[in-house]
Amino acid sequence: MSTRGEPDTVPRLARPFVALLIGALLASAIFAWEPWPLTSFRLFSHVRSDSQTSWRATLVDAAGAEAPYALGSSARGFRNFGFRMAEFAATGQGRRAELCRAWIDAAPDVARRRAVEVRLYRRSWLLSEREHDRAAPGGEERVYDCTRAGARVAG
Amino acid sequence: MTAHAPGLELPASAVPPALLRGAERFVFAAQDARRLAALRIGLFGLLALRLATNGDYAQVADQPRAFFDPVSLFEPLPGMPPSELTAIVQVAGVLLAVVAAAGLAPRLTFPAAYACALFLNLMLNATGKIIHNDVVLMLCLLALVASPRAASRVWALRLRGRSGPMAVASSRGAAYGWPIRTAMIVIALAYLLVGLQKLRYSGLGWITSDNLRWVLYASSDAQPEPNQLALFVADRAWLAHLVAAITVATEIGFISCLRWARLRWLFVPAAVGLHLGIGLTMRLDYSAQALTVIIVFVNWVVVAEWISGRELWVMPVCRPGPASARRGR
Repeated sequence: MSTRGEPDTVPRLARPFVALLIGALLASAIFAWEPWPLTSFRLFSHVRSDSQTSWRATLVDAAGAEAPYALGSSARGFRNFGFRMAEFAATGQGRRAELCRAWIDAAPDVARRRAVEVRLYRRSWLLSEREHDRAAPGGEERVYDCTRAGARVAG
Repeated sequence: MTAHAPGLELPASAVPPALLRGAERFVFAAQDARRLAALRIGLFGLLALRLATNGDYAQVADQPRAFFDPVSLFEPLPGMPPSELTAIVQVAGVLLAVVAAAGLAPRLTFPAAYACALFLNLMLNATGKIIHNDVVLMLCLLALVASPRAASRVWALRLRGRSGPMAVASSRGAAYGWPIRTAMIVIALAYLLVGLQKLRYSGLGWITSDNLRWVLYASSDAQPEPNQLALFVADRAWLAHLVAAITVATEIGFISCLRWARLRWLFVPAAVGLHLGIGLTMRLDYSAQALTVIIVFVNWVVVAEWISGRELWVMPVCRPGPASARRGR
C-alpha cells in the first residue's frame, strides 16, 4: 500500500484501510470485542466500591505444614491471580480440578517445596476503614481446598 | 492545501456529507515527508525500546497450559509459546524495529517488526487480563506498516548501491500525510472511547461517586509503601471528584484537537499529565502511550529546525518552502 515516488499520490487502498481501521476501533468498543491490538477500551470503566475482596493461597506439604504460596507472583506466568480466582469461583468442578492440579504441580518451581494441597483464602475489607495510611485488615475465610483430585469447599 | 489521490474522486451523486468530506480533507492533507520519517523513527524506536526492556515476555513463557487464556490471533494455539521461541522473537523484534526505525528495507522490516511485537504482546494478553499499555503504540504503527515506502523516503539509511529514498522532487505531499493523520485519529479515538466507556458502564457516577477515592486507596494499599500522592487525593473528596472530571474531560475532549490544532497545546500535555499522574499514584506504566502521543502530535520538523537551525536539517533535494513545514499541523 505504498506510493512509488509521487508525493501527491495516495495509495489506492489507503482510504479503505483508514475506514476499516476506524470502523474496527468503533466496533470493538461498541460490541466489547478484544481482537488485540483492537480492544473495547473498558479499562477502569466500572465504578469501584468501598467493599473489597482479594484471594490468598497457601500450600500444605506432605507433613501437613502450611506455608504461603505466592500465586500472584510473576514467575512462570502465575500473574493475574485475582482474575483466575474469579474464574475459579464461577466455573465447574472439571475446570477447578485442572487449575488445582496446575497449582500443586507448580509448587516446586514457584515456592521451592512440594505441595499435596493448596488452600484458598478470601479476604474482605472496607477501604473506608483506615488505620493510619492503610486499610484495616478486615476478615479472612478459608473458602476452597485444592488437591490433585479436585477442589472442595472448605468447611 | 489538500491533495486527493488520483482515481479516488467520487462521482457527484455519491458525494459524502460535509462531515465525511471534512474527514477526508483532514486525513489526506499534504504533509512534510520528514514529519512522517520522524514518526517512523519515533514509533519504531519506541517499539524497540519496549521490546528490549520488557521482562514480562520471559516470565509468561512456559506458563502451564491450564492458565493459557488466549485472545485474538492466539486463540488457535494450544498453549503459551516456549521460552526459547520467546527469546528468539524478542531479539528479532528488537533488531527489526531498530532497522525499521532506520528506514532500511521498510517493506520487509516494518511488518516483520510489527509481527514480532504482536506475537509477544499476545503472550501477555493470554494470561487472563487484557493489557492496554502498548495498544495505542501498536495501533499507530499499523499506519506505518501500511505506508513503508513513503515513511522511508527521507531521513533513512540506504544500502550501498541501492536507489536513494531521498530521490524525490518534493518533500511534501498527500502520500506523507495520511499515515500521520491516521495515527492522530487512532489516538484521539482511543481516548474518546476510554472516556465514553466510563460513562457507558458507570454513568456520571464515575465522577460524582467516591469511585476514584476507592481506586486510589486500593492502589496505595497494594503498594509496598503507602503512596502519599494517591492518599492526598483520596483523602479529599472534592479533589478526587475534580481529578475524575478532568480525566473524563481530557479523554472525551482530546478528539477536538483534530479539528482545532491549537487545542493540541492543551490536550497533549493534559493526556501526558494524565499518564504521569497514573504512574505516580498507581504505579501503572503507560509511558508507551504517553510517548506515542508526543511522537505523533509534535511537529518534529519544526522542533528540529528550531533547535538546530534549518540548514542542518533540510535535505538538499527536498527543501520545503519557508512556511511549509508549519502548515498542515
